[in-house]
Amino acid sequence: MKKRIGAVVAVIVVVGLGFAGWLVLGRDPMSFAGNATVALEDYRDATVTGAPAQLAGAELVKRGEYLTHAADCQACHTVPGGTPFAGGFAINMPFGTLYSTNITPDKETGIGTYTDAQFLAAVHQGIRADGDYLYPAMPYTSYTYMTDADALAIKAYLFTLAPVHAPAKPNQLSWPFSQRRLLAAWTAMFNPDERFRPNIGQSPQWNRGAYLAEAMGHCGECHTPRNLAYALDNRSKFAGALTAGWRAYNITGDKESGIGDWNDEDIYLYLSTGHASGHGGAAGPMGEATDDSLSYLVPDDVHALVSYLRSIPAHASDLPRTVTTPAPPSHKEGMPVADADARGEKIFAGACASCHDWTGVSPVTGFATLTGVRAVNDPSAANVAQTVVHGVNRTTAGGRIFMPAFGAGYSDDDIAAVANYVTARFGAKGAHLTAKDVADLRAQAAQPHKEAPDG
Amino acid sequence: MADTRSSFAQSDAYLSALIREVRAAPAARALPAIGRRTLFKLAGAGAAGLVLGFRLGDAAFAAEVGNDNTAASQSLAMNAFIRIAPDNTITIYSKAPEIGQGIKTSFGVIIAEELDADWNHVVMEQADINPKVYGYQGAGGSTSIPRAWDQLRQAGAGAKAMLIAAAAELWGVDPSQITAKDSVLTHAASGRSAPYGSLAVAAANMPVPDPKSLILKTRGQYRLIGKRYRGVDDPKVVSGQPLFGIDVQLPGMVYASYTKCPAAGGKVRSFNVDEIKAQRGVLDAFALNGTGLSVEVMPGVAIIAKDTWSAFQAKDKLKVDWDLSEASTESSSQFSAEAKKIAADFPKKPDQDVGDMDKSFANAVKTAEAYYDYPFAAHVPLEPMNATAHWHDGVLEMWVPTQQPDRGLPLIAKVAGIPQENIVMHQTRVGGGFGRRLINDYTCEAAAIAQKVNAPVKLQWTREDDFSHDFYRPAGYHQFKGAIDKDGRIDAWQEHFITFTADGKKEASGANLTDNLKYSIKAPNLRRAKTMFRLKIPTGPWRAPGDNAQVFAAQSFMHELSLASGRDHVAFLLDAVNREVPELAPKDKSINFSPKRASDVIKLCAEKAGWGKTLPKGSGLGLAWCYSHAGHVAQAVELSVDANKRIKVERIVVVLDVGPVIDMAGSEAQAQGASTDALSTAIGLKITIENGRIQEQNYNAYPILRMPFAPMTIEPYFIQSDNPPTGMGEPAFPALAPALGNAIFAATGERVRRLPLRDLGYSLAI
Amino acid sequence: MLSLTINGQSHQIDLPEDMPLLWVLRDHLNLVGTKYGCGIAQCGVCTVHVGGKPVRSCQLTIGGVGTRAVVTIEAIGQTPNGAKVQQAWMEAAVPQCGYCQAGQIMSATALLNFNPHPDDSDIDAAMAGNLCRCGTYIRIRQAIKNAAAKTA
Ligand code: FES
Ligand code: FES
Repeated sequence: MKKRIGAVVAVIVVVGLGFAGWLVLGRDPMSFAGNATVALEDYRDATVTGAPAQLAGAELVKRGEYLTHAADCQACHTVPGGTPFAGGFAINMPFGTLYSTNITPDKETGIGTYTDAQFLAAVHQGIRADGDYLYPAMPYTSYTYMTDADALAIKAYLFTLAPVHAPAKPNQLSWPFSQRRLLAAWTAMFNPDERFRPNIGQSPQWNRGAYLAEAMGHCGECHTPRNLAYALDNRSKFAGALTAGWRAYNITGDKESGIGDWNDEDIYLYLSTGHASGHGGAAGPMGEATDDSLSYLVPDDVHALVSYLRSIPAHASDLPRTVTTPAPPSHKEGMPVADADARGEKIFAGACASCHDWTGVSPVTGFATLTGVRAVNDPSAANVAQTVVHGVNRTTAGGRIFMPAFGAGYSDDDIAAVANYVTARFGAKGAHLTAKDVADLRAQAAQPHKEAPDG
Repeated sequence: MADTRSSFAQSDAYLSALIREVRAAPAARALPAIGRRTLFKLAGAGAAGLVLGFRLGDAAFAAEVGNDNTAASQSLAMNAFIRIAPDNTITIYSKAPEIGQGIKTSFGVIIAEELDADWNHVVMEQADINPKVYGYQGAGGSTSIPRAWDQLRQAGAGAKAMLIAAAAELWGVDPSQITAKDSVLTHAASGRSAPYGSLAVAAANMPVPDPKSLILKTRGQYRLIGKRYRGVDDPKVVSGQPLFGIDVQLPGMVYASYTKCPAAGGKVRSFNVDEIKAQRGVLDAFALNGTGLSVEVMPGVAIIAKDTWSAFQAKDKLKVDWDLSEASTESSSQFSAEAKKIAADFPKKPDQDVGDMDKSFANAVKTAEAYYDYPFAAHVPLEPMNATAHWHDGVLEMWVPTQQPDRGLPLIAKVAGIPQENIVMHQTRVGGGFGRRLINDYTCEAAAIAQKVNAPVKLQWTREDDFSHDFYRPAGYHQFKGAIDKDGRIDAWQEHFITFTADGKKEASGANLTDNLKYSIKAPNLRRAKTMFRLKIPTGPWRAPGDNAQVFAAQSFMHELSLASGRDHVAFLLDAVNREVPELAPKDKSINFSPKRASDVIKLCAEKAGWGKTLPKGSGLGLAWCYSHAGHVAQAVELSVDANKRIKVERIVVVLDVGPVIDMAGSEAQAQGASTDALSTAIGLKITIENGRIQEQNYNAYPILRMPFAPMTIEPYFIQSDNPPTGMGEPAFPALAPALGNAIFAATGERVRRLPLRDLGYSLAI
Repeated sequence: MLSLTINGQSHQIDLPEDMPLLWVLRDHLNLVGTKYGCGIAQCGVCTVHVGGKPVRSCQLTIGGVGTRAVVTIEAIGQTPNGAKVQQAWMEAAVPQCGYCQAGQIMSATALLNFNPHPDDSDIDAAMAGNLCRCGTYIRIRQAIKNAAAKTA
């Protein structure tokens, strides 16, 4: 019992400290742009919330569908291969596993009985219909910036879905994190609970981008590092973080470790298709974000996001500068012997070289080119290992992006070896993953197995 | 490109006509004049030279996989055809499927040997399918050679006798004075000689000799048998000429995919037919109910398209509402857990109970107990399942890459609802069998689909289909208990085998305990029992069925017992060779076990492996043996294991006694290939079933050994004898895994009791 | 309409750009020597040369071929190294079922074109992507060395 009290005290202290530091600098995700903000109703320059102009005349449900994509509800509320929005997706945290819930309008197991007010409370404040708090894996600290109208449009859309009977899976959290009551304190401290305020010092396009990035797309939930209390630390906004075992990269303007040297077109393409030539493609959670969300946005909205991203203060992270020159065509040349993982080389030769080539420039498709890819230049090799484990299977406007998943057929040891080899050969600096590191990464990203396809 | 089409489309018109003629001949029973064991020649042979058909009543090799000799094939078995053209070209028709075991070459060599043909003038062709004409036309259980040995030799010798008779008449000399060599007949006394081609027409008019009168060569007289050959199809293989089932192209051909329920046993309720029909390149889409038998046609959705890619693309879009009420919900992990739980409870009713087990254990000097298990495995030969069928004029014409075309014939007839006579089957080269193509499900599917399509149609499975709808090597679980007597010999052997049943009565296909034990483990007290789990997922024969995994368990436990006995493993094994095997009925030639041959392979293997030599720390030598598919085989593995459990295989020794070797190059290839396959399977391969669905869908999840990790030193040795030759496709598989496990124990002291080794943290070093 | 150069011949192809080269070769041009084995670049049976490089035709769309010349197993024997490799394959009796061998030969020929005297590690690097279910690796390695030995 003593131990438990000790733990509670520790949690409170940590949370308290985190809060103190965070209040000063880290709380508002848009404060970097200055304080010239006004209430939305006082903003006259343009419409920056809601569905885009193209859908202005559309029905509520249509607009809601667009906004549901923009807010990317589906990625978390769907098991891979399962019925969309029926929940059950596992979110692995350092302190346990949370399962997303059913947000189809099923009256028993979904949100079928939610009133508008209850829905808004959930989206803005993280309070569910029974009054209990939601874990902040539900990004309500971002969604809190969403307008009531947009949130209710999403609700209207969700309520047109076929109700699915899918009871929530019990979360598996260690104590004290299993105590929902503590969330009240967390939420009070870390959820600003305020709606989007346009910045009159910035362009309407920027404001639209800010609304999409913060209130809807919740980019920071993955890309912004968290403090000790697990709240976003906006002092290093968008500077990159490890989320669910995948590295969300630095998307600030830093030239070396961010996207400062990408041109607008590259960023636009990456966001809208999940791939930009010379920079590689999105996989894992970012792949889902592009497939389920960003690829649905109209071009104007993607441009708005680009404009917003361009304004984020550069923040250097410790990633080395990306190598953009291909490796030599002979497997014997090109990397310091010290970095050469002989086992990794043999595995690469068998499973990888036929698409990625010994140069890293694919003779098959630009999607498979490794040269210049951020993940390959990340010496933590987190995303390389994850991609090897999970593969990629995405259909984009530019074609199908496919890589087989090797997680079932290859051991952690083999995957570590090949990730080390790939980062050393094609990236800035070789990783030194061990089998245990790969096991940890797998555990963080673990999802229920996708069922075998229809045939 | 035109000949790509015609080579398959037209087949050999002459041979087809011939077959039709033979097929029209009355059945043997109605034709006592021809009788059994009579060679006879076919009319109309003149123009093309000598054409011989051989009618042999007795199946040369009675026991066959599945044991379903039809009355027809028993009573009227025609085998190989030889054709000698005036230009000296000798065409030999190989009746059995070439699946990579090299049979098309070996069959030719056997006939050419007795024919004294010049091998350089021999052209091998694949015969079409007609069991009435050819008898057994399968390739399974390593039985092709032993079944055909007598027939083929008589075929060659008979043809030679007719050529000699023709020459004797022409030259007016006694036939006994004529000698044959390299396709030339010579009468030494008169200095006359003539090539076969010049005598072919005359020979065709000679009376057919009685096979009993033919004197076959003895081993010392062989000129062709035992030499090294390149595969007869190799020139076509290396230049990409059409050979395989998948290569069949016919004018106007369309392409089909077939999608079955991912959980075995599911049925189609409905599917998005309109959406599928609207897909690019799609011509038609329809559901089939099938016969509901996994070896025939299971329910599914066929998509017909202009090319394979369009069929596959549309398949991706397919959304089927499956009725899962009778579908499998099985999981391999559940079976494993359940087996582990019950293994130690020896069933009340043993299948076999010799001696007094309890007394033996009570008096034993040493006892040992262990639990072994191994997973499901898939065949996944590199050519995915496919078949081409054309339904026209009430005739179903088919091109099939299968191991058992003759066995497929009645099934296809049943599925199509037509008499067998209305099916014309051409056999193609087969891109790997391993037992998968003993089952003709995909050929039946092609037939069923073809009947609904007004064009020749090629059914092509995706690799994912192949993984999902295999007939898997069943998993197995063994609880062993053994006792050692005061002399250090096995006194008792108890085995609880946990396996699977499909019907609740007998073991599922490939899931029965094989006879290996009977020969390799002589224990005065012996008790065996089994427990069977019901299984809906289909299982089947997989290279060296049963033995491929059971020998791992038994021979590993034998090593454990030898260690318990404190005696040398080889001496212990030799001691346990069963020298009291009852004399077998001579008819059952598939069983030719000889304790001496067994002992000899063990001894030679130990010798070649350097048994008893001192190895550095971390290195080990392991040995195991088996009697499998009529072959006596011992295998040894020398390896080292590092701190990361990486295994470096230094050397593999394989010693085989399969009688005389027909084609040395082909036999070595089989010995090395089977050892490589066995190592690959032992290290990394397993099939996982979850909720009735196969989780591994392609080679990315099923890591077949690749070159950098493959063992490069595999030394095959053959003990040749006058025993009839037996097959090489399987025997070199089973003993490898236990030899590997025993070597790992020798190197590390850690016992391997589970496959694949990957699950125990082992991997192959580079 | 796409224009592809295959085995020295120009073909006008009226097929969707996203169709993999493999199926265009097999189903539309009757060049069935190039095989289908996995469709995910893991087995190598579909290997052809594109712009001189060994490429998995199951992954390469015809739209992605561009102006690069395609050579398949049917024509590789017309190149010096291709002929040498085919000869070495027959002399060493490499094939078992033979299904993987067209792809193996294409990879081996590309290797010799790039590196006339490969050592074991070069052979691994070039050949590891070609599976052989029958286990012919020992003879493949030998045949490559034999072919290389004949290279001036
Ligand atoms: S079919 Fe292309 S690599 Fe297997
Ligand atoms: S020879 Fe059969 S797969 Fe290689």
